Amino acid sequence: MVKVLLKTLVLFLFFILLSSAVYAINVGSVVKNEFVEILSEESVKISMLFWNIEEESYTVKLSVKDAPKNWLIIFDPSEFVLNKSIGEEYIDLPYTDEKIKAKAVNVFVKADTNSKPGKYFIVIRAETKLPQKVNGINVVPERLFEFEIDLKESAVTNRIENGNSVLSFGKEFDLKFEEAKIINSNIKELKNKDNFYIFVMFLVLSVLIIIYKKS
Amino acid sequence: MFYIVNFVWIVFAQESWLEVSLELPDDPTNVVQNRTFTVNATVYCRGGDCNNVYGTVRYNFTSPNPDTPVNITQGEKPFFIQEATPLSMKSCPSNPLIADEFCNITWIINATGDINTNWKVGVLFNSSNIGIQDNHTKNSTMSILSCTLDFSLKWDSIDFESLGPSTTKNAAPGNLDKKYNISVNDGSCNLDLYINGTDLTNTTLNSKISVGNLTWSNTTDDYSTSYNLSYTIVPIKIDVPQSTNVTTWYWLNVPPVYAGHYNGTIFIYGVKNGESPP
Repeated sequence: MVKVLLKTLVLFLFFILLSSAVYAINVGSVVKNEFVEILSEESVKISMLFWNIEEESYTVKLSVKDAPKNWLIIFDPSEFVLNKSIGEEYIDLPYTDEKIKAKAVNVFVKADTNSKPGKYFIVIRAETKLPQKVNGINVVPERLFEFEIDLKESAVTNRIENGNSVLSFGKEFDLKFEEAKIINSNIKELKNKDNFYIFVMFLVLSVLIIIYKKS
Repeated sequence: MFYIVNFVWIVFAQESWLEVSLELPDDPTNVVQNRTFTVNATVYCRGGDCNNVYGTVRYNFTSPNPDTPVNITQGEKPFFIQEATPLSMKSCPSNPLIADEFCNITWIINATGDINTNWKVGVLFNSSNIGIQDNHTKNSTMSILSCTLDFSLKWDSIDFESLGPSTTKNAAPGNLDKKYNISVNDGSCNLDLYINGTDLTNTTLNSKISVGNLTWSNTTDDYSTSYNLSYTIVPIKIDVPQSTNVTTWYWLNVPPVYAGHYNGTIFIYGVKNGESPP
């Protein structure tokens, strides 16, 4: 009751926000390869660029918003500071004559081995972390990127399937191992045969020498 | 006889040379397809006079390094010179160049090549004096990109200043001046813009103003057109083309709460048109 009275009877003004200077925020980005093909046993690299044409720096944090289950997605880097002079590359923007640097980011994607071939989508979120105001309503821009991934059957699986026997990657590996063992044993056999022939030739030669000397 | 010939060659061919540098573009540079970029190169005449000096802007068409003058025909791929009188070879305006004189030449080039292709660009300088060796600038790699995702917020916070409790329809100070602009920048793909927010809280007093007390409009500076902000992400405007400003307006209804400073966040989302909403 007291609290309600306090709330309603507060007569003095209060501050919702006390902010200093107001800054503009620019968020620029591009995905160099939005559509990618990936083999089920391999990973793929998606290249992105991020830039900020303003003087004021902010931090960008990348995270996965949506992805197929058990897919591995790695960002390099996953968090970085951005302003117009940070980055490994340059971006020529039609609306400014200034030299703007762009931060190169690689996104590595590896599909789950149990995923079936087909089209999949990954959504990545780029959060903008601005220096927090002590008081006030901060305005934060965010971006979302959608990638279409075409998952293809791996070359390994294809090869086995063409031989009319569907084998998993593990079985294929076992198969190769067996093949290797067979080859190894064949080599041993060949080596043994070689040794035998050399021995026979040596024996024949020795006998011939003895005959020659005695004669 | 051999020594005389060698001496003549030294005297007439090696006394002057062209010192060159590529000022623009930087290496590597990315450019949006069908947009222009500037190639700018400088040549210094060193060691003596250089007669008339010419610069030719080139790209790698048949070999790993620039070997072909950039096209002057409009629409040609991967580049064409987009100028009133396009010339791939330009003469120095200050010709003939005397010792230690320099000249700077600029070309405006349109990147028409296929998306995700990379090209090397550089400038070859030569003199009308055949005894002076040609010299090529270092190269810059140009990557041609599809449209970008590029937008700017012209403000980073909303300052409602001091407000009384139990007051409604308090307009944000920037409403009158249309300060709360979202610009979809030139070169950007068409974007879908979305908004949501958080409660305004005062952690010391453990008090909050729920997010729905903030309202926003994407049409006019009129409270009656405004929507309540919520945790749910809703569209501000869909399919916004490049070079467009989207103005927003904000109001705050203050419930009967403790006096103090309240903090909150408004999120503005940019998504390429057609992609999944946030």
